[in-house]
Amino acid sequence: MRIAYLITLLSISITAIGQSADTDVILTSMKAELNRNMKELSIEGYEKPFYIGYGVSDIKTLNVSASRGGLIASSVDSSKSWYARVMVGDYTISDENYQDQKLNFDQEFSYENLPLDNNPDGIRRSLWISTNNIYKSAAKLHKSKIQLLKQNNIDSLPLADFSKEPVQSIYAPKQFEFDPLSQYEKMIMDLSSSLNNAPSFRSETSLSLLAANHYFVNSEGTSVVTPYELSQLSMVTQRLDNEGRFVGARLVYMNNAKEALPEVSDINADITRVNKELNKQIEREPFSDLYYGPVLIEGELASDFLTAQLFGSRNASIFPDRQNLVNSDEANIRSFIENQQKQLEKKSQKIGSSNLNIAVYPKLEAFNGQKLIGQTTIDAEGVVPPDTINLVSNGQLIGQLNDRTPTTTTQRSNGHNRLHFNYMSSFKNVAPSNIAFTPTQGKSAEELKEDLIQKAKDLGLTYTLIFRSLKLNADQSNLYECYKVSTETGEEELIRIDRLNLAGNNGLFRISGMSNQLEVHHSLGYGMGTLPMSIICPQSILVDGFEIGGNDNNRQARYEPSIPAPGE
Amino acid sequence: MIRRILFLLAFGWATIGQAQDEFLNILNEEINREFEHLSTLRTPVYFMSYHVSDMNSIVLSSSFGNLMNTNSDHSRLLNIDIKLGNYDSSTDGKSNQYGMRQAIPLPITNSEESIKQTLWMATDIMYKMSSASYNPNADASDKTQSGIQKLNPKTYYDEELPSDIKSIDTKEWIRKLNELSIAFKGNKDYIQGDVILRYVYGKKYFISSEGTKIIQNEVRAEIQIAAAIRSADGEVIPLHQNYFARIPSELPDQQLIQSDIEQMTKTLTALQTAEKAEPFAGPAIFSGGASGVFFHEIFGHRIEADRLGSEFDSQTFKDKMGERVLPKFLQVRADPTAKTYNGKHMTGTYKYDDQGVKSKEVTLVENGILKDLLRSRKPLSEGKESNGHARAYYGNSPVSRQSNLIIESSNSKSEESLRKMLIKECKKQDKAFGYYIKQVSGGYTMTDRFRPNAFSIAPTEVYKIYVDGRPDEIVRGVDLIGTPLTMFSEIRATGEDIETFFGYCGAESGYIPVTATSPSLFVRKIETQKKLESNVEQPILEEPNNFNK
Repeated sequence: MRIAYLITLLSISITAIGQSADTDVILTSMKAELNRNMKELSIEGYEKPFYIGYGVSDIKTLNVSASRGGLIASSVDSSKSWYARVMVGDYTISDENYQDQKLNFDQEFSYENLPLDNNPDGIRRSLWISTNNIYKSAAKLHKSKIQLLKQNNIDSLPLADFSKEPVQSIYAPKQFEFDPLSQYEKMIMDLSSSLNNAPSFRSETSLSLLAANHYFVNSEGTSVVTPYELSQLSMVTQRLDNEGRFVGARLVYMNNAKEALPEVSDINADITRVNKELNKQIEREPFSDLYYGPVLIEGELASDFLTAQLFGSRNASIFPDRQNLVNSDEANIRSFIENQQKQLEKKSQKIGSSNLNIAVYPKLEAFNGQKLIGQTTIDAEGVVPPDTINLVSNGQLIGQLNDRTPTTTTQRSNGHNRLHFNYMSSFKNVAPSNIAFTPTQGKSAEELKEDLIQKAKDLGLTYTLIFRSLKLNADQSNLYECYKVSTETGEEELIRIDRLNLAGNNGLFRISGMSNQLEVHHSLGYGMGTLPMSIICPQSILVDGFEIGGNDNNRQARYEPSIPAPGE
Repeated sequence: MIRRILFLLAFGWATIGQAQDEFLNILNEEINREFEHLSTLRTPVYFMSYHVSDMNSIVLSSSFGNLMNTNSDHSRLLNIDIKLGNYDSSTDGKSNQYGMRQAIPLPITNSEESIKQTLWMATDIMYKMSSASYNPNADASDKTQSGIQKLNPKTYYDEELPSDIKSIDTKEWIRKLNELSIAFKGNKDYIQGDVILRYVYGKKYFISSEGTKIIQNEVRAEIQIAAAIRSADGEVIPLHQNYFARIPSELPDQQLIQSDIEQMTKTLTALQTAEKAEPFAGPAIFSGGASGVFFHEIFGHRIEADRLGSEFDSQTFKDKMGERVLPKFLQVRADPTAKTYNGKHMTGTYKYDDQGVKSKEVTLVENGILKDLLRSRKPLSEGKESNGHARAYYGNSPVSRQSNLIIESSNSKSEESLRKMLIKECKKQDKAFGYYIKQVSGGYTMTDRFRPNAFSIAPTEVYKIYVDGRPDEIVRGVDLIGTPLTMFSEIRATGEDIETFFGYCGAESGYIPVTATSPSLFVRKIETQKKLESNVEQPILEEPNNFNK
């Protein structure tokens, strides 16, 4: 049922590509070379491969950037980015998750580029050479691993090396064409002119569109062809205040559709607002106190705080961290196995406030009527994720995102080996899709402000702080307002704080209140910076023990031009 | 400092005319506005220049019959030079400059506001960096400080490039490249089989606070063949061949290249099973191309004047002016004005150098006597003016570099005579064979005092010439090494054949196109060492779909 559902879902947005899985040159070439290698690849004295997987991304990109009405760069490019996985052994003990520093693979681990033209010989040639190279390394590693375990009388390891997952079959490529480049050039040049209605030191407007079909086949029989799209429009402006401090704004509009850009009138409305806000900010004297106490964080900043805290944590991560077995002496190997066994038996760990719950919803398309951009209907390893994965419950870590490499917390893949793109290349790693941070018990805005003031009073403070993200049409911006709130009267006074560090230690434990209103924010900030993700989170959060100012005030770079700017 | 030469590229084209260039006017207005301000500051600027490379490039590459890359790009890259102090103090070494190590992208459309803003910001940052490192009290003998000699304003504009050379028939070129590179398909020992077209056209702007305004066209086309085969013992053996022309339609026709590729595959097949050479000291003949690289490395880099002022440079020829440095039958000149030599397009050609000085032919060695050096506008103790050899790749400050190096001989001998001389010398040295070095891929040399003042040249096609009359035998795995003065003293004769090596030379101001033209050379004694070994195993399976070839 799950597969049928997926196919239906994808086919809605697909333009006819005029070919089938049986005639698609890329797919048939991948399958032909995979089958040949599975059948024939062997080295005397070593085991044959038990698993081969190929992933090919057929990518088209369009990039335009401009500043003050002048075109800086403009290009349309295409490439094929790919990866291969060749494993020797079996699902329980393979060559993976193992290191032997005595083996030398210097000249064997090379990838051959894939041709741009869909020439079957060319595609197969690249796959042939790379499969050959990876297999040689894998065969040697596997033999070494088996010998090591045998020498130490070890029959099995606590964790398997590779998880078995259902076979999938999807063929849903999309035909991609960009509108004429000149059309985008004009739009970006015009927007870059609008951005500079006020004097700026530096500014740039850029557009990146990406469209790709990702092909994945493996020797288990999985065959998946799915489209990926991304559009990103960024605007950056930087100004100097009267004392040479840099003040700037960055706006990003993003979507997981190729050309789903906002209306120009919406962007221009943001530009007008940004110019106005920066002018106001420049006029204000920067905050010079050292503040340590509770703060209320509202809007996009709340999302930034939660993701910075969660993704930045190395000790209590929602991401897998599997240690490799290393070829060394018996004591170390025994210790490795014991440690892995202990980790398997370990109970859940507290990673934040008891009021905090975290889950991912990979298939969710919208929340509260707002489109989400982190959908993952099938991952880069051909695994279909479940509808929901609970990661944190009442502050306890109860799950992790995972791929097909089992870990001590999750032995099966939950379909989060996500594909992301950096210019002309694709990469894959475990990453979130649509992630939701929800309170067990939320509070109203009024209650949170009252709590903030009371906490500040308890600490003997005469004022406290509220950081409020500006509401713009942009999906991401770094603009916020900061209010100094009197603990006596509750009155708010707009002040200027240029630097705000959201990545302090143990921030999830310092959350003492969350809004009962949830909102959606988007980010491309995980992985290589081009992985779309939606964040559902409380509209505001109350955080204790926040440090603002002090040395940060003096660290700001200052710049006084030696030459007057043109036109001054 | 290690300097390298690699195979490859380039040709400069020019016709004199007048240009109404909007971009030049924007550059001119902004440099004047900025200089007017900067020259009045407490640490004044006495010279500044903008050097902008406004280039279009097209690259198509094919490998084993498949299209691997298509890329077209238009960029304007800015290099700023700023000198602080004044002309007089800089001559005394009291001025300083800070070389910006990254080219600054300028808008590619003539948006006045956008271009001026970028120029202003880059110049302002550059001035701050320069003034931070400026020392007005620097010791006059400190030659590491760098000023610039004054130059009377010059104006030169090339005519607009004809529009019909600004595009190529991409589809047709892809077909040609694929048809050429498929020749390497079908043998699983080939690990590289590339045919690449590179085409660059555009303008180079130079504008200075002295009033110099130059627009030069730059147009060059190249086809590069790069192939490599694996020997039975896993060594990777490469061969290269390059063709140069002004524009793609003037490159050699497909048939000729096809026939060269056939010859290349034969040579590679012979090299695949060739004996590995042992370290050797004895006589050798260098082909003209190999001799060109030899002279570029061991001679050319030591007559680039800018670095001779540094006490850390080995200064091989610093005090040798008027003295014999090469055999008396050799003449050496540098000629950046030469468009062709023996019908070949020269790639180290330009009308004005990267400091706005008109290029000219320079006699470096006459009858073996050192006559001149390659000079930029950097003030040197000799007090001589620039001879138009300041060159730089985008983002680097120009220094004196080579252009088209031409070696000529007044005592040429036939190929047969050279072979006889080699055999006679082998017998004298009790050697069973000498070497014929036919092709090289490049080389490098060190000219500082921190490391041995040595060079290395990487031959790709080397033959043993036996004393006993056996046929010549191809060998592999040879690296040529040596030190300059010893090598000069071992040159005994030159051949009648003339060959040009085309390459990119890398040094402190980046990679620039150069050529080195030379007759073949007989050297009494060379030294070789074993090449660094690779070990790439044969693939287990046969190449897929081989029958489709």
